[in-house]
Amino acid sequence: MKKILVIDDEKPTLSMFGLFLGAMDFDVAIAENGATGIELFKKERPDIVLTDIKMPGMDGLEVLKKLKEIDPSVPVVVVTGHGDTALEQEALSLNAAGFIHKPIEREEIESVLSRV
Amino acid sequence: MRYLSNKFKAASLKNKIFFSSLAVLFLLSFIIALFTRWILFTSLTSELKLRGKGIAGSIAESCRGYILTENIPELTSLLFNERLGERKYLIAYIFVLGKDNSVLAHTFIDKFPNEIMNADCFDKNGVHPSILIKVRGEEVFDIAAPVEEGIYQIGSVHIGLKKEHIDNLMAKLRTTFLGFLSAITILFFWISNLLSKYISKPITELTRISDEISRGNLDASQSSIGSIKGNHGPTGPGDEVMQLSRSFYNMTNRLKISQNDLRESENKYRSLFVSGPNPIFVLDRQTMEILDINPSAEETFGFNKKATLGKLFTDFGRFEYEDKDPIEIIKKGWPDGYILTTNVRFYAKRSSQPLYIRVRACPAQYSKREALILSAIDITEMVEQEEQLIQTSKMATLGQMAAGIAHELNQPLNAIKLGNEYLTMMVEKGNKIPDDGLARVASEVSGQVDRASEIINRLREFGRKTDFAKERVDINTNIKNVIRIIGKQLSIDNIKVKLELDDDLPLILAHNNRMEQVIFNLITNSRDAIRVVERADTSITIKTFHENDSVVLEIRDTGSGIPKDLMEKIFDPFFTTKEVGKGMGLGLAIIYGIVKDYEGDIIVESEEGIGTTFIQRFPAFHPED
Repeated sequence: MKKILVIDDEKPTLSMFGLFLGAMDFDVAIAENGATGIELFKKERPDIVLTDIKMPGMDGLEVLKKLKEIDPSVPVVVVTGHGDTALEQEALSLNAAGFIHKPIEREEIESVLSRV
Repeated sequence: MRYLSNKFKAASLKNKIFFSSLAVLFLLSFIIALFTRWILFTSLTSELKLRGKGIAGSIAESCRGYILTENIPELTSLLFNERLGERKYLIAYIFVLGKDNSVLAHTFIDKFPNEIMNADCFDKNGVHPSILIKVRGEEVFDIAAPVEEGIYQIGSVHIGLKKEHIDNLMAKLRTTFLGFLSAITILFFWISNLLSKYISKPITELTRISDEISRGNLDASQSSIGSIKGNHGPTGPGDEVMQLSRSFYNMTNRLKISQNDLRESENKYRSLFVSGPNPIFVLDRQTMEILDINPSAEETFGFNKKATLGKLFTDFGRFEYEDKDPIEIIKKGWPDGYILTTNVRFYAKRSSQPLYIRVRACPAQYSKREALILSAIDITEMVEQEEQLIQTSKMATLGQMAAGIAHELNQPLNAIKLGNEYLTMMVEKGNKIPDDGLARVASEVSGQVDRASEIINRLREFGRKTDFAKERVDINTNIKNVIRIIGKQLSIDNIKVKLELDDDLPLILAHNNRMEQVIFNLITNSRDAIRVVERADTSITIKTFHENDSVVLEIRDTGSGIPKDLMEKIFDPFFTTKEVGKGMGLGLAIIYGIVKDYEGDIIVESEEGIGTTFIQRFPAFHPED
């Protein structure tokens, strides 16, 4: 069972991610902000990380940067809104493993997660 | 008596003069007549008696011899001679008595009348008084003279003098007197007529002219005053009547001048009323009934004057509540020299859409009624244009916030979508959905739908057009509403929002969504200013408090600050430091307009590199006033 870490400042989203990814047979860990997420990553060492990009405090790009510093091989999937192409370019340059657009479609998340 | 006095009071001046002078004349004449008559009668009588005595004495002298000789026939002839002589008009009879009072001779043709003898002709001393007796229906003075021989009285002579003689004289006198009196009366009538004509005719004329004046005919009366007899123009000598007519002339002259002045000023105001470009209403202050409207009002509001008069102004227009209720001021205490200025939402006949009019009103007298002169300006277009401008700027602000708002709306949608995908996946896999999972999804979906519709409602409210009427606004609520829309985005930008709100903040008179627009705009400006600088600790502090009857709203940021040389320009329309396409430069200009509209004030304190503070003051609203 793969372990997945979800970082998002939205509690309801986190809660639904938990149910959804759990149903997809993941072992889900959740963090409400970037800092907690990185702490949790160090502790749990998940196989995949999903992070929201717009967050108060540390945003998604920063989280991505930090995670890559800790473990350059960990696949980090960035969750963005539609049309945030500039942010996606930046994320790609930081070696993001893929993108999921809000509102999240099942096919999209399945295909992205199957690739990593 | 009372009847007479009333009659006298009611009589004309001419008759009063005539009758009163006549009465005095008659009274005087009567007294004089009585007096004259008495003197005349007394003197005539004594004269007659004296004469009688003389005649009787001379007869007594003549007849002494015949008595002594008892020659009766000679005596009788002597008596007849005297009786029928030149004094026959005077003498009624003569008779001679003897010593024993027996009748010796008499001039009566038939028998001697006994009534003479019955009259006591002698007193005991033998002195014969003259007495008035009646002989055969004729009034006669009986005068006696003794016939003496030595010291003895041998008889007496009686003569009867006709009183008719005196009566005739008296009658003649009376006739003369009455004739004289008639002549005097006629003369008096003429004089009093003349006098009364002289006095009362001008008075009658003045009365007529006064009536004429009271009917408003000043010109006609003026010329007739000039024609009043004895009038020598406005100055000059003259008796009281002339003075009266002169002063009357001057009075009408004065009256005419002031009436002309009045008419002139009335014409002036009337022409202002009729030809003025602004609609003017004349209203009854108590009932708000329309008493008059000018042609401009008819034109502007499509009124038919006849149909409009008598209706209530308040049926057409609703006064907007300013700091005080205008209707209260109109109906009750009107401060001295106060001019009421307020907006009215006006439902004219022409269109079903309300017009917005700005009115200025002051109290006046109109046809003896407490009235209100209300002049109006149609500001509908202005209001609409202003509204359009504010609306445009609001939409521009919303446009700037669109990305953030989209993100904001995406959050609940995302959560709902995820929950739904979970359920679908479980169903597809044929797995049983655990109860707690189902419950979590159900509660999250409901919560997130509420959250999304809350955002949509706030947006709709913000985008709504402002109503014409001002409302009571709690700035704290406005701030909270704005923060609800953009608070999340500010936190994503790592901008801390610090609220220092006064819980006992008074209300102000404003429009909720315009106030939100002001706050929204200032906060986005702050955010833009903060984005420019690299700083770890960024914040926007929103503070409300009240002092000196003002409500103060302070928005302070830790942004770039405004360069000193630009400070003066920031409220200018179309001034912007932003890149082309990022802003129209209308934000602060519109904020300035809105704040001024609420009789508020806005000032800026800024220091480059430290931050900017916008301070706005609004007058507090006291609904109990």
